[in-house]
Amino acid sequence: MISVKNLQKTYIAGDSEVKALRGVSMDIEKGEFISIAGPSGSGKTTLLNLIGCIDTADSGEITINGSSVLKLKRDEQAAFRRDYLGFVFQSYNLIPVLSALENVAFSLNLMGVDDREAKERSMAILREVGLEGMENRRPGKLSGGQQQRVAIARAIVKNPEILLADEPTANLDSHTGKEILELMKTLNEKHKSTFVFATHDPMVMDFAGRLVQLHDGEIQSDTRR
Amino acid sequence: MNYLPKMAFKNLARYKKRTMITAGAIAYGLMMFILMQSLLTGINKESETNLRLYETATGRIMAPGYWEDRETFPLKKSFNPEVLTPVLKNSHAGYSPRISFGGDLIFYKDPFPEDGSIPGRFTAIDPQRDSQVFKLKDSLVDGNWLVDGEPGILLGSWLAEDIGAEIGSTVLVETQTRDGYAQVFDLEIVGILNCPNPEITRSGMFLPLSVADEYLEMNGNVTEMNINFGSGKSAESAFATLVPELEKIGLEAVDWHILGADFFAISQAKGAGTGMIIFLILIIAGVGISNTMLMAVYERVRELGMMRALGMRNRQIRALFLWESAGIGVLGGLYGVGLGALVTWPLVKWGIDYSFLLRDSSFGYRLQGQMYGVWDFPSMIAAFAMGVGMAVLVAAFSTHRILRLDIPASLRFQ
Repeated sequence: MISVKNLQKTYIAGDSEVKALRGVSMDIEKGEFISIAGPSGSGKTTLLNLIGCIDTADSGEITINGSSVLKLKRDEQAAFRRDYLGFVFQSYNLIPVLSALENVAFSLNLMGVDDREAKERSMAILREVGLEGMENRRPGKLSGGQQQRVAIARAIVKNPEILLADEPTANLDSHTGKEILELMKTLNEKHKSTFVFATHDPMVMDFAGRLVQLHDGEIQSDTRR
Repeated sequence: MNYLPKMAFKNLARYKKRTMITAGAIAYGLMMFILMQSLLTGINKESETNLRLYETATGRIMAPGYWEDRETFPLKKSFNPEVLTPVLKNSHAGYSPRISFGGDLIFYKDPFPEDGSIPGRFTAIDPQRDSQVFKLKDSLVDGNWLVDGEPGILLGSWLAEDIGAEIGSTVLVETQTRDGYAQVFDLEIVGILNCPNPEITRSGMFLPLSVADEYLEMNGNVTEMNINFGSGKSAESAFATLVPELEKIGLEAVDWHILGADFFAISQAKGAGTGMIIFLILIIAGVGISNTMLMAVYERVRELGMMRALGMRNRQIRALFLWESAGIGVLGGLYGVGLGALVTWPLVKWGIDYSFLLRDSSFGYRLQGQMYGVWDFPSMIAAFAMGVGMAVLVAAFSTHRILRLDIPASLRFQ
């Protein structure tokens, strides 16, 4: 479903070049729950960003369902992200002026789903992530774990083919982090979306069905469980 | 797309303080704009009216070459007003002849406080016909109006005060006849004029036409025939229709725009100067808005990065900020117009007394005493549109800068 071939990416930092990815190739099957792990600077976030069409590669190719996504134009990439991808960020990145319900519905609003349907679907997914009764709270009135649940709900409400999560547990305590991972695993099984994590949290690695270890921009190991 | 205005409104409410400060900066600029426009328009309108009613009328008919040489008061370039009768009799215009001549007003101690003389321009008017064209008679504040054939003089009140003139006192006029011979004659001060047009109050000296005709040996000739068709474009058009007829009898017509060219030039220059001040005020307001808008946009770089990652297009983000800035612009515009109306109201109702400024120096405007503002509704609408436009423009610039960042950089932005 996702095919990454010989992906290379170099950043310029001041006078020096940083090779973030040095010819990474891998395939990810539909419905996988895969963790891309590695220390800081190993290239895991870069790989996630490239799969998520929010960054450009120097060379190589990414095809998703047979389409080469790196060659899409800016607006086509935006439409692709909107229709096929869900994102969960380390620091939740919710819109502070919107309630939990409106934050979730925002994804659907972007897709042109009418307001009433968007709210119904959002309410259903908030129930699923255990936030019933908190739908009218703004992010500032929610705990970190609750905010991350809203972020997951926002990503999953549109039934994306792929959900990309960058360090989703990094700002959470271990207990809440575990709850979030269990929630994501459940959603993965229920919605059949492909979950791809970038993490250096051992707990996330333990939860993953497949663990890809990156080091200095190269795949060091690829283990299926 | 309905969620965009809703979100924009929520953002405005979320940053209440900043919204109010930005709208306040816009409002201040617009308030000053409205105030200055009101004053400027009021001064110009009043000045134009006073220019027309006391100096120029709709226009003036003169002998060829008189207007070009007017500074030397060329009495030889005069004409017999009777030649105009066929042209004017069916024109429905008010008309009144005058003789303008230069000379010295001489006065002696007792009854005057001291001896002295003042060079100036004397205007001989037809006491009966003058009111058909000018409002001079309404400005008489002391004494009597001129009587045909009687050697009297009317003085502007500031001039009278300056020389210590009183009704009944006698002055001498030293001048030259039409043929260039020296002439001196006595005139009794019969009245004092205090006119809305400061040129008259400051230096006006008026005597009967028949008296001037005799002393200047004009033989019935006059230097000008003033024509009154009223005001407005139709009056100007009516005056213009006289031109071909006048050319046939060898006279020329000069309309009030040329007669009052000094005022119009000053008005235009002052308008440009005021425009510059208004422009600077708006620039200052624009910098204030730009600063707060940039802050607003930079504070939300990560939020925008997330929105773009979720699939929001750049044009949708631009639209979001345009809604927000338009909201601020509308708020600032309404405040500005409201405040502008509030500060303009006392100006329209009571005006400002600035006669102390005009007494000794002329600013070119034909108005004295109270300076009134006017309700300038087109300026208010323009101010409102400017407020919205300025906010939208600044926001568009700020958003453009943010959208140049790529999404990962936006998400990392601190």
